[in-house]
Amino acid sequence: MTKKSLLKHWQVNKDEQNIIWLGFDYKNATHNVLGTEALIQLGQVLDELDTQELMGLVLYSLKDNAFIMGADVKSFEQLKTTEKARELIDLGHEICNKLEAVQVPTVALINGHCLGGGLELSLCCDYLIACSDRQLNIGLPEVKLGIHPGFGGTVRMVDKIGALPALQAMLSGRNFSPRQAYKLGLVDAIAPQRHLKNAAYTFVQKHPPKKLTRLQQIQRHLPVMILRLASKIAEHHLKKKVNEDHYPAPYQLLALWRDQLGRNRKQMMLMEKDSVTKLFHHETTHNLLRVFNLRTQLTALGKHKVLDENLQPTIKRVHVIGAGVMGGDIASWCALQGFDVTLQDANINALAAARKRSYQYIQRAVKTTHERMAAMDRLIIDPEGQGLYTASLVIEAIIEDLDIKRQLFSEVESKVSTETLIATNTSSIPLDQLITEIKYPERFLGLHFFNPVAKMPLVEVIAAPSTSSSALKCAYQFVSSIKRLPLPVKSSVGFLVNRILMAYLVEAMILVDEGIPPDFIDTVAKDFGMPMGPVELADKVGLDICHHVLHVFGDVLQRDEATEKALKKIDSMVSQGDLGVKSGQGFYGYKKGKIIRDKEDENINATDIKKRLFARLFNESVACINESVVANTDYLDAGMIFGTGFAPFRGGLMHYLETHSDEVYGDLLCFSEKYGVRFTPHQGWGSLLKAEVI
Amino acid sequence: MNKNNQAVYVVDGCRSPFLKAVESPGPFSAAELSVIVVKNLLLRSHIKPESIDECILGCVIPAPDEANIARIISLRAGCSEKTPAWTVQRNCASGLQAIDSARMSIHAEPSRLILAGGVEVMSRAPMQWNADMVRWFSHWMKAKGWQQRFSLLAQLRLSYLRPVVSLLCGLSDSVVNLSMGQTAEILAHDFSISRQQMDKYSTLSHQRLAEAINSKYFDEIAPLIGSDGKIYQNDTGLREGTTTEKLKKLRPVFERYGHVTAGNSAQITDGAAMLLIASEQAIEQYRLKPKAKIIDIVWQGLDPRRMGLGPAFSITALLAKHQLDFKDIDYWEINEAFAAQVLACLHIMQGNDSAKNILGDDVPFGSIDPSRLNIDGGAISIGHPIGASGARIVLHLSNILLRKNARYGIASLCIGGGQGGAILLEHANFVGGAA
Repeated sequence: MTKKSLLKHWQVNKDEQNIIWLGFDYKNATHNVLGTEALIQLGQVLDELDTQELMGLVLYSLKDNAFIMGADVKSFEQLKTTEKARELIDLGHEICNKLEAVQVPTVALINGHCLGGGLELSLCCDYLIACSDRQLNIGLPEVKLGIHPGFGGTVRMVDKIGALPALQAMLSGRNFSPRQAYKLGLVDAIAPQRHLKNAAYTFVQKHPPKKLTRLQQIQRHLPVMILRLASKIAEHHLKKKVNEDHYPAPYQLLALWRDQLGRNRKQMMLMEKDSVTKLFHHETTHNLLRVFNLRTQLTALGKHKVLDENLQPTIKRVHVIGAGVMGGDIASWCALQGFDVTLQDANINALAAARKRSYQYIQRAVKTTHERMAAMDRLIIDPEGQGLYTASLVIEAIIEDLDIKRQLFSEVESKVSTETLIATNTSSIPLDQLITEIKYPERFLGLHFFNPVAKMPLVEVIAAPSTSSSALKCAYQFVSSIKRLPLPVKSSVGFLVNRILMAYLVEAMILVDEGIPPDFIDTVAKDFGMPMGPVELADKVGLDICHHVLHVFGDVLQRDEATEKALKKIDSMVSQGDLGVKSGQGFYGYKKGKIIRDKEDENINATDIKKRLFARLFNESVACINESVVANTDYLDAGMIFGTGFAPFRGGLMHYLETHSDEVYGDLLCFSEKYGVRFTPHQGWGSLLKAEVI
Repeated sequence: MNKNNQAVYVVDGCRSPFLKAVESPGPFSAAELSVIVVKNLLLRSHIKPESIDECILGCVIPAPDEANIARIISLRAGCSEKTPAWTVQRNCASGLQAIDSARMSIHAEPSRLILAGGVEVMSRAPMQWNADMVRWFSHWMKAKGWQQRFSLLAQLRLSYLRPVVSLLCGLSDSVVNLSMGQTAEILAHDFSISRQQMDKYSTLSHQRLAEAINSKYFDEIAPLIGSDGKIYQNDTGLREGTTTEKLKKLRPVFERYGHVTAGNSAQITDGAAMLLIASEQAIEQYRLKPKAKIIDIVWQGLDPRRMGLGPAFSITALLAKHQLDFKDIDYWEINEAFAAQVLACLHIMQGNDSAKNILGDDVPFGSIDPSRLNIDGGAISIGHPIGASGARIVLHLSNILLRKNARYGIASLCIGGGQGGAILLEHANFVGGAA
């Protein structure tokens, strides 16, 4: 093989059969992204290509885990102006067109994740071959970042798999496994890693025409009329799922797809460019990018290389105590992610229920029989707690009772080895109250999971003052390795997420107490972008649990007359046995777990209600920052987005305050006179407002 | 290397509840049962799976996807890839064979820590096509064109669909053309054992099991939870409150005018039992507290038509070899394949009638105190998953020796095909008697 040129990001080799192997190796990064520089260099390579005696060209990745992860998302933040965004889009189109125009057979050898711009580039090759024995994702997830494919993907995806499947894939932003992609016709072949090269040779040499299934052939020839009708149906479904004001990208993508119907290729490309450029400077896009970056930030916490391996134990076996919904789901999730787990509970019925739930979840979540079997094998029920002796991490998830927990921890400590981390999943009790009986408190910390564990990506990693930094690092690493996002939180009442959320739930309860229909309150919150209304949420969490948490909170939330009155109502509801969804009656009535809503339209001032709900949310957030419950505003925003689903398109609570602090502060002042002292602004607003004035 | 210096110990053991096969297929596969049992056993003994040097399992009728089931279990339970694993088969004594193989392995390589035991899921024993159907299939595969296929279809007979039930095949002896139940009928006739004696013995087995469950003597059991959330904590074969009168009503199942019924035979059952077997070196290395020392295991062959006498042959041979007498042994476990067979063994071991002709005149004779035999029930009440029973009685006898602070125990089984096996155990830390 001869080296043709020396480029920073690309390796170009020509083999004896005159096939060019074009390897992508994005410098100074763990995985490949299409940065501007990389794109320009690819352009150079393609320009210098001498196709005279060339047999073919194969595009592959030199990185281990990713083929191409997409465009360089980090650089998006610099695209503040429309011109800059357009420049990048034009460049992308230019390079893609060059690759598409190469005269010899071209193959994209997808040996790692192939997403967004990466897939758009691959679609310019004649053939796509994906590695079948690796966990890799192939797809166009751009809508999730508030944009849509912009390197010609909207056109080429339609070419490759047909108009309707392409629309579905792009609208959902769904990731496909190699097998699914093959069935869809998105990739032309799949092969195990060891045969990838051979597969590429075969395609280059044989240069076979594209094979279409009968269904695909029919789809290719659907009349425009029908496609237009389909777009109407798609829009109808979309409206049920997302609000256009909150998330414009999917709507714009749908409009683009419809407008492209029946146009020539050049026009279609131009339309895509215009459409995506518009999205780039939309606020939602920036906020979703922020959410993307927050996620990356938390993920990175668990990936820090440890300098001294001996100092930090790695987690191998997990022991969960308490087979309630949380304990059972935590155990099941850890087993699914590859850890050996023992689940302890003196009540065998609880263990049985947990095992059943776990089995049902694994049946749904795991595709192949042998992997299912392995996941089920890893979860061992352990009525007597034999697993404690060899566990490297113990997670306690029993009832929220200080004395019982304390007693449990001293028992646990007498059985575990000295290196074993001990974690509590308490949702409200501060850690310093729990460690009184613990001899080695440096290995004690909080791992607070959110319900349902399989859906909520956040885990609050709570540090007591005595917790050692190596224990924390180990915990971050563990949380990352079970594919959850670790959030460092200082131990205090309610930690971060529950404390902020409670203030907001209490306000909702006060509103109900004042006679506002629950449905109205929930609609207001959902209109703001919350995934679920506060009253509905309180019912779902269970009023007994809310009641208990509020009791533990004591005076952390500012209480006034209205608060006490609302809390008394909760008291009486709980004593009557109205506990929410689980008892069939809470603020709402439930039939088979579904809300019975009564449709009543009243003339109520929605603005005031919205402001009151969110003023409490913001006020408590400011207090948390002021008390350093989390290190910075990014962590707070990440916590609320990944722990409660707080409107991602808003970019987070503190991010929202960057532009709205004066307004919210004004509301607080006004409400504290009008409704009670619970609205008194916390300390910490000062700095926010000053920053605004300057 | 001097064999006698290498002591071999039963460190601990664990078993699944034995589940009577009420419906086929049962709720757990053989591999599933064993993996749960092995994992529980390792947790109880605080041994990491990677520390296991070898895994040996007895299993007679594995499912089609469970070839060399020992290896499957070893890997699924988290043992190292480097740990060799093999499956042994000596019919009803396969579990005991696994323990014997572990013993041999330790004699050859003194540092070892071995998982040995057995499993049988009789409710999932495969059903196969008969030879006619298989032949028809092979023609079908080769057939070309619709004409050939059509004529083949015409040749298909309803009788071709009659399945071969491998469980029934497994429980009969093709050499002498007798089912196991028939061999028990022969013994009942030879030794004039009445139906009433058998049913009385069987009632006692159930009563003893019920008492043992009430007294919580089965901490050797690891509870199971099915994928549907159903809980299995105890052996399900127990006929609670059964009496000789109730058993009397059952019909003979093997021979129309015979005496052997489902009530006085061992049950068709799913179950797994595993033991941790260690050499003296391994005991020291992992600081283990063994339950019992394995002194010896002997095997004897006999007339396949009277395979039920296997325990009498092997027990007397074992005692003779170690110059022990019946009264030296504190507790006994004789696997209850059939009540008739256990009673026949007890009878002949007393040295009556033609005993000397059958067992030889160089062995000790004596009687076994019924209050020291199968004191917590046996296969008639607990069930007899054929691959697992050997391991279960060794485990339970070890536990009895500890519970009663007794020194010696013998466990023995009859083996289809005409063999008997017996193991001599000694309390690992016996205090009180002559040390």
